Amino acid sequence: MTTTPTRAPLASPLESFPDQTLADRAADGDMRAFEVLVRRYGPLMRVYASRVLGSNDEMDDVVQEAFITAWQQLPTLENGAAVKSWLMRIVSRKSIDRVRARRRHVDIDLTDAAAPEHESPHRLVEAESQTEELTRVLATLPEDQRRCWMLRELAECSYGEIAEQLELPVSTIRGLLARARKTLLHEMEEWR
Amino acid sequence: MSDVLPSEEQLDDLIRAVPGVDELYSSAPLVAAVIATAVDAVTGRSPSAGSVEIAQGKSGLSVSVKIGIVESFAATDVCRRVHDAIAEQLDRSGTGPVDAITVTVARIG
Amino acid sequence: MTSSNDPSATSVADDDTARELAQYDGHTFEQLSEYLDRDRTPANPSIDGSPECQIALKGMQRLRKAHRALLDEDVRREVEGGDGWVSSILAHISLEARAGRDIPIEHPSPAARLVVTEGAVRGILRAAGDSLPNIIVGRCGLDGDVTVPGTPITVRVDASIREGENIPATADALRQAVYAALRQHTDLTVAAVDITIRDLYAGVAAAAAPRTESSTDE
Repeated sequence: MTTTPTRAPLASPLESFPDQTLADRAADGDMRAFEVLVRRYGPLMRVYASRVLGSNDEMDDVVQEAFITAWQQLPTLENGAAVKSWLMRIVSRKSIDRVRARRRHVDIDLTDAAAPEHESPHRLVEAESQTEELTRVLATLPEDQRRCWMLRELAECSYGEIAEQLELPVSTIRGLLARARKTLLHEMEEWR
Repeated sequence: MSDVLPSEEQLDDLIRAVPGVDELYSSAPLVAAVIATAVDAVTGRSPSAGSVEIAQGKSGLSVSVKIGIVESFAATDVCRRVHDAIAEQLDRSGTGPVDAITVTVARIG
Repeated sequence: MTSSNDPSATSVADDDTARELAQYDGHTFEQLSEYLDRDRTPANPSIDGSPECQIALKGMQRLRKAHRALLDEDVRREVEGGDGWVSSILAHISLEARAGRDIPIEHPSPAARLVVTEGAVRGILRAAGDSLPNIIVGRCGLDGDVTVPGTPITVRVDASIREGENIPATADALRQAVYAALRQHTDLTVAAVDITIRDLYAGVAAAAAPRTESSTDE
C-alpha cells in the first residue's frame, strides 16, 4: 500500500464523493447528497433539454420534472455508479414527452422551432465560430436524426436505449445515426 | 369548548422555543419538505404555515407536529419536551380531554 | 415523368449503398458509424486496414470532438448563468418520500405518540460516518420490527474506506459512533451493527475506484 496524501480541504466533503455514494445516500433520503447530484449533472441536463426542445422556455420545467422523478425513483436504481446516464435517460424521456404533447396541440414542424439560440451576427474567433456553425448545422438536422444524435453523443445512451426511448427498432437507430453523422460531416467539410 | 382551543400560532411559537428544535415542518400533506431557509424564500411560503395540526375528535383533542432537530441534542429528549410543552399548554388552556399528541422527528441534524 | 425517371426511395438507397461500398472498401458508412460506437471492438482488420475507412472514421471522431467542445461550452455557459434553478428543484423534493417506518419514543403519558422516522435515523447513521476521517457511509438500514419497542434490531451500514487505512480499526470506530448516535437519539434496542466495506477509495474520495475488496466485518 502506498502512503496516501492528506485529503485536501473541501467546502463540503459530499462534493468530492463518487456518484455511487451520492446515489446510494440520496436513495436513503440524503437531500444534501441529492443536491450535489443536481449541481453535478443539472447543467448538462439543462443543455440537453434546451437542445431537444429547441428553446429554453420549457427547460426549467422539464429538468425539474426529471429531478422530481429521479428523487422518487432513486431507490429503484440498482447501480448508483450509473446515475449520470440514468438521469440523462429521464430528462430525455421528459423532453421527448414534452415535444410530443406540444405537437398534439400545435401541428408545426419542430425543426423550424429548433433554431440556435446564441447565434452571433458576426464571427468571433475561429473556435467559437466553429461551435456556432455546428450548433446551426445540428439544428437543421431532421428531428429524428437530431434526437438520435443527442441521445448518443450527449446522453451517451446505447443503441438499445435509444431504440427504447424513441420507440423505434435498433436497425432504424443505426441508420438514423449514420445519416446524422454523414450530414454533419458533409457540412463540416464545407466550412473547412 | 372549541373557543378555548389554543391557536396554531401559539403552539408554533411554543414548539420552536424548545431547545434543540430547529424546524417545524408543515403537517398538512407536504408539497415540499424544506432543507434550507433559502428555499423558504424561493417558495414564498411562510415557514410556520400549517405547521401544527389541531383536530377535535369525539374522544378529545388531537395535536400533531413534525419537527427537525439539531444534531447536538438528543432526539428522544427534544421529542418528549415538545410533547410536554404542548400538553402543558393544552392543560393551561383548559381544552378538555386530550386524545393524542403526536410528535414526529423527521430530521436530525 | 415516367416511372423510369422517377426512381423509388429504395433504389436511391441502393445507389447510395453501392457508392459507399465502392468508396469504403466494401463497407457502408452505417457499418463504420456503428464500428465507431462499438469502440472498434471486436477489431475488424478489413476496416482497420483500409485508408478510406480510416479517413471516414477520423472524420466522425473529429465531429465527436467538435461536438464535445460545443457541449463543454454550453455547459460552461449554463453554469455561469447561475444556479437559481437548483433551489426550486429542491423545494419540490419531499423528505416524506423517504420517511420509512415510525420508530416509537417512550413516554409515560397514554396520549403521547412520539416517534422518530426511519429516514431521520438513517440520517444520523450517515452523520456518524461523516464525523470520522477515512470512511464514507453509503446505504444503511434497520433490520427488525422497529415499530415495536424493545425488539432487537440489526443495523446495516455500507461504507467505503480510504486505501491504506486499517480496515477493522476504521470499521470499529464507525461501529462505536453508530452505537453512540443510536443511544443518543433513539430508544432502539441494538443487537448488532453490521458494517460492510464495499470498496476502498484512493486519496481524494472523488477518485474512488470501484473495487470489490469487500469484507463483512463480524
